[in-house]
Amino acid sequence: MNRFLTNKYLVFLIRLAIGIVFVYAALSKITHPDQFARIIYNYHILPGGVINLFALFLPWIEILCGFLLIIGFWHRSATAILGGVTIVFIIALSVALFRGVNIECGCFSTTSKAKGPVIDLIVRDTIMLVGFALIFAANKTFFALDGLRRRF
Amino acid sequence: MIKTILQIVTIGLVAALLAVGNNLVNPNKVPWIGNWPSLSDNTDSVWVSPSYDAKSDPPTLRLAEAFDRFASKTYLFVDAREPEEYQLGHIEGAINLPFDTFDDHWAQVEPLLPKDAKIVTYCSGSECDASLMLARLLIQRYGYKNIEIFFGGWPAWTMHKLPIDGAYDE
Repeated sequence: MNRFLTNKYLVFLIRLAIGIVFVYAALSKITHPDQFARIIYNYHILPGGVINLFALFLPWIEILCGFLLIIGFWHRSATAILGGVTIVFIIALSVALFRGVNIECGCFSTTSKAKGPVIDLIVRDTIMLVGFALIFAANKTFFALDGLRRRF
Repeated sequence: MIKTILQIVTIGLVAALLAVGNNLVNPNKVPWIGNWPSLSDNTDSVWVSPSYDAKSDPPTLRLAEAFDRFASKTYLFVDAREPEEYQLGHIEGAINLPFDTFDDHWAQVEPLLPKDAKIVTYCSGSECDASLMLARLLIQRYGYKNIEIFFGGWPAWTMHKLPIDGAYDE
């Protein structure tokens, strides 16, 4: 089991999948920081003054790290950052769930009115954390620029 | 370890640069420091008309609460000001139903306001009673039940640069 989980092809697939997810998730937030800021405001967690800065900064972190994961460059650093970001998401969603605040997720789209149960989102993010842990722990890489640099 | 930290800092800096660049050219750009109403901000709680009777009148909303209703997209905002003011600018998506000339407009507006709709009325802030009068009228004469009054109204909304149709006041 352990060998299966650290299999370099499996870890590559997880890396690729998570990378694509984050790049995709960032796109509509980058084009619509105004709507994304409104969604963040609705969480009622961040103080008003930093909401816009956060709305501008976060999607670029997502897209950069997602891209780095896909190409496998600096991928452990990118994994660490996205892992941290995901933990922040889990905390924010949990606070919203606990307080019963009516939120739009703001996960993949700034316009979707679909509101899944918040608990599902928390479960999804937690599963993703396991993926990050596997990527971070793996010492062999497949199809990664980091691996190339080590070889040459 | 130090290498990882340096990489993380670098990624953060690049992301910050891209974020700044994007916000300079993006048509949907936002102010760097947002002026979002705070939930604990009581400054707008004073905007309640003197003729408001807390016992019998519909509930009032503070700015942050009104914005919550707005963002949920399940409330209809009704602008009780005159059409000239409404046309210059109003809360995004709001319907105009002027209290002073109610009878001239009711026939047009009635189909837009289902009896079970959740409604927020507003007008020109502290100086103005139209939102309260309109709410009373809709409840007493037409049987609406889910009405709330946003006394902060247009001035409070635009002070915080919240979403509107039209133009902010000069």
